[in-house]
Amino acid sequence: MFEYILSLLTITVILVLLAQSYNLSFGLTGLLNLGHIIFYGIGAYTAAILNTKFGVGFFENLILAILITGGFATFFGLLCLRLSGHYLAIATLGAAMITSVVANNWMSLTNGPLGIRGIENPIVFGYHFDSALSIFSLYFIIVSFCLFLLYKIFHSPYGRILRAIKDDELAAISVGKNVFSAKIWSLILSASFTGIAGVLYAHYRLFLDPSIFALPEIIFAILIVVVGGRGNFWGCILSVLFLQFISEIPRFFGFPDEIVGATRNILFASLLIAVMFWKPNGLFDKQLKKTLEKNKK
Amino acid sequence: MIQYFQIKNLCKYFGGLHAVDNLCFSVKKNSITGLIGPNGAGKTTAFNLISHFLPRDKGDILFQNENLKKLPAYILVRKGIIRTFQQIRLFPNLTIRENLLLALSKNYDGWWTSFFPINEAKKNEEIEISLQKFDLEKLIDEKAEDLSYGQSRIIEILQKKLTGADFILLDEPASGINPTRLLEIEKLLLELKSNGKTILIIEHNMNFIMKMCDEIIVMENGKVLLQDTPQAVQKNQKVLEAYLGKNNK
Ligand SMILES: Nc1ncnc2c1ncn2[C@@H]1O[C@H](COP(=O)(O)OP(=O)(O)OP(=O)(O)O)[C@@H](O)[C@H]1O
Ligand SMILES: [Mg+2]
Repeated sequence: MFEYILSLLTITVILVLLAQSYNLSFGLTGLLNLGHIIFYGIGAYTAAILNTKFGVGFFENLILAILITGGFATFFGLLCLRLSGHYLAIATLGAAMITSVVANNWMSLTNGPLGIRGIENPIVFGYHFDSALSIFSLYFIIVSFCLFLLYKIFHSPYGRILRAIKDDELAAISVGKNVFSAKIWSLILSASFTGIAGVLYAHYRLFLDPSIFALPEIIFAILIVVVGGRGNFWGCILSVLFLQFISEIPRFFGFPDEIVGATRNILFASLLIAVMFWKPNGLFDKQLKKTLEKNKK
Repeated sequence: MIQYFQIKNLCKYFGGLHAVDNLCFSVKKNSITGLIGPNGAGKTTAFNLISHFLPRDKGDILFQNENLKKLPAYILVRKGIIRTFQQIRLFPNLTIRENLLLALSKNYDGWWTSFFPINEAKKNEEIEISLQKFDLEKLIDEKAEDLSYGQSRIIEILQKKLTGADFILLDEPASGINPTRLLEIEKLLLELKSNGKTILIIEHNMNFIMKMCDEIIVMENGKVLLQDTPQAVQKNQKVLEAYLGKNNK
C-alpha cells in the first residue's frame, strides 16, 4: 500500500510540473498550443534513447532535454506562432500527430510501438535512486525548484506582458511590447520545463512507448489547465491533485484496469466539456472567492 | 524647414476604395493639432498607417528627421509615436495598476525580469501619483473591465502618457464622455502639452476641438481639404460643405 501511494505521488509530482509548464504558454499567454504534449514526449524520448543507447546519466539528460525541447520549441514557434487562434490549435495538433507517427515508425531510433526498455533509475553523484521513497524525494525537490522558477515567471513583469497578450495583442503592441518575441519565449520556457517533466517520467517508468503522444494524454493535459483555470498558478496544482484523486476512485471499488482506463477517459472528456461550459475560468477561480466574500458582507 | 512630423503622399487602398489618398500634412512640435472630417474620411486609417498598424501602399512618414520605413508597430512606440484606438483598448482582465505598469517599462521586459525585476517600487509610486490627480487611486487594484467608460478613457490616455512617448495620437478621446470628465481630459492634454509633448487628435466634438487645438487639419475622401487655425477653419465654406453636403447649404 505504501509503495502504491508513493508511486501515485511520484506520478502526481511529474504531472504537476507538466501541467504548470503547460499552463505558462497555454494558460498565461493564451497560446492554443494543443499539441504541447510533444515536448513531454521529446523530453522522455531524449532521456530514454540517450540513456539506453549511450549510457547518458540522469543529470546530463535533464540538461540535454532542456536544450533539445527548447530548440524544437524555437523552430515550432517560428513556424506556427504567426498563426493565431484556431489555426495555431490545428497546426499544433497536427504536429503532435506527426511526432506520434515518427515515434511509431522510426524503428531504429525509438523501437516503434514496442517501446524502449531498460532505462535506468536516476543516479546522481554516484547515488542510485532505486527505492520508491528516494525517487519520490529526488523528484519532489527537482519539481519544487522548477515550480519556484515558474512562480517567479508567472508573477514577474514578463508574466504581466504574457497576460496582457492573452487579453489583447493589439493593445500590447500599442504600448510597445514585442509580442512575437514574448510569445516565442513563453513557448520555449514552457517547452523546456515540460521536457524536464518528460525526463523525470522516463527515468521513473523505465519503459517508454509512443502512447505518450496519444490523444487521451493530450486531453488530460488540457483538462488539468482548464480545470485549474487558465493562467492560475495555484489552481493548476490543485487541479492535478483533484484529477489524480478522482481518477483513482474506480480502483478502490476494485474495477479491473481496462475499465478504469476507459471510464477515466470518458469521465475526463465530459469534465472538460462541462468545465468549459459552466466554469470557463476553472474550478478554483479567484473570482469565486471574491463573490463568496461579498455575499458574506 | 524640417518639420517635427510630416507625411507625404500617403496612400492606402482597400480594393477600389481610396481610404487614404495622397495624404500630405505636417504637425508642429509641441502643438495640439486636430484631425477632423466626416465619417469615412479616412482619419482612423491615417492613424493606422502612421502607427504602422497597417502597411501603407505608398508614401513617406517623417518623424524627427527620420524617414520611417516599414517597421513593426511596437518599434514605433519605442521611437516615441503612440496611439489610442477609436474603441478603448485596455487589458480588461488586468488591474489598473498592471495596465499602467505595462506602459512604464516601455522597452520590452524579457523573461529575465522574472528574476531581476527593475524598479518595481518606484514604478508603483509613479502610478499612484498619476492616478491621484484624477481621484482614481481607489480603483488601482480593480480590473480594467470594471471601470466606467469615462474612467477607461482617462486610464487609456494616462497609460499612453506613461510610456513617455513624444508624439501622441488620440482617436476620438472625447466621444461619449460626460462634461465633467471632458474637463479632466482637457486638463490632461494641456498638461501633456506643457511637458513638451505633441498631440494629434481625431474628434467629432467641435467645441472640444476648437477650444483645444492650435491648428486643425480637415480631411475628406482620404485627402486634406484644409490645414489652418481653428478660427479660419470655422469660417471656411469648403469645410461646411464637406460636413453638411453641398445640397444642404
Ligand atoms: N480594414 C478595412 N478594410 C476595408 N475598408 C476599410 C477598412 N478600414 C477602413 N475602411 C474603409 O475606409 C474608409 C475610411 O475609414 P476610416 O475608419 O479611416 O474613417 P474615419 O475617418 O475614421 O471615420 P469615422 O469618423 O467614422 O471614425 C471607410 O470607407 C471605411 O469603410
Ligand atoms: Mg475613425
